[in-house]
Amino acid sequence: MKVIKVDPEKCTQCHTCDLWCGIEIGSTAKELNEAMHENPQPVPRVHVEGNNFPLHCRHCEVAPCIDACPNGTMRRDPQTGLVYVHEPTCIACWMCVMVCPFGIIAPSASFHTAVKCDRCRNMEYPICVDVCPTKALVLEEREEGATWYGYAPKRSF
Amino acid sequence: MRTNLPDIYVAGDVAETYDLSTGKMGVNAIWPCAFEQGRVAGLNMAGREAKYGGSFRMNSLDFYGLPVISMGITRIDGNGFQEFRRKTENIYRKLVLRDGCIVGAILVGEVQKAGILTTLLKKRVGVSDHIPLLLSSKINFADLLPLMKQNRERFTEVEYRELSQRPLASRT
Repeated sequence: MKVIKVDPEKCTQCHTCDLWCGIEIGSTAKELNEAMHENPQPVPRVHVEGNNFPLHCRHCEVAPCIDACPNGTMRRDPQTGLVYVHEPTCIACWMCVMVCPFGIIAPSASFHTAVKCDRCRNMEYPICVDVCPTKALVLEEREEGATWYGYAPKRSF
Repeated sequence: MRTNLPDIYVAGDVAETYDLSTGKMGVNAIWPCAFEQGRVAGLNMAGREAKYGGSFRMNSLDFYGLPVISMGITRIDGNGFQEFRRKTENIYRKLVLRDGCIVGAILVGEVQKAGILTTLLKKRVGVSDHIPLLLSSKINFADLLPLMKQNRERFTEVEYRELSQRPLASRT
């Protein structure tokens, strides 16, 4: 499974990643000019935090958001291991927001769903990594032998 | 999770667990705790030694568009607690500390970063030096990275290690 890694020293705080994420993933028009006038406004899935730290969903090995979700809206794709929101069933209870260790799940009142990065699971390549001009974002393989209650988990992805 | 009886394991609303916020044994009958306990109990029943870290109460509600999240001890009784509040027109935020660690919090209106507080409570990280940031609307994970670095032994999950392209220790 691949995850997006960040190099804060290369980040110039240009916000290209969240702009493109908002257009490509958040908006229905997929085009800047129209996306700007959309209502409700598109929500980007990546946020540049602090001064230079673009933060996405980390697709945790033991994902607290999946544990906390009361009706199975927060799911893990069995093929890719990516965590995503099944929007039609989200009841906007914000249980996932309450437990996300990185605070990246956005409770969107206007869309009435939890909004988070699914690492562009329906696309070939994550858009933020693609557009980052300084390569502060890269896609890398997840570390092996990671701990899961002290064990290396069996992965199908 | 193993009970005091041989071959009896327990999880969920019937399980008395160590409460991380109060420091006493108690029942926290909520779904997220039950889920984690079920997994730990299952691992142990299957012969794999897994340890449960402890539970604490928490809940999230949306009152007709006003999101509210509360966790741990929210009403102080007794000594040794510190309380911090911030109130604006649309936002209310309260933190309860004991021995420099968060043991409870209430967030009203603005809840997006609530999970960071939950994690700090769960991992019992000393936060005395970061109170203004934790109370502000600008609270974010990146600004709390120094805190994470100081408590590296508590943040051992792979997600924290692979966050950055360089080891976190080399950053200033």
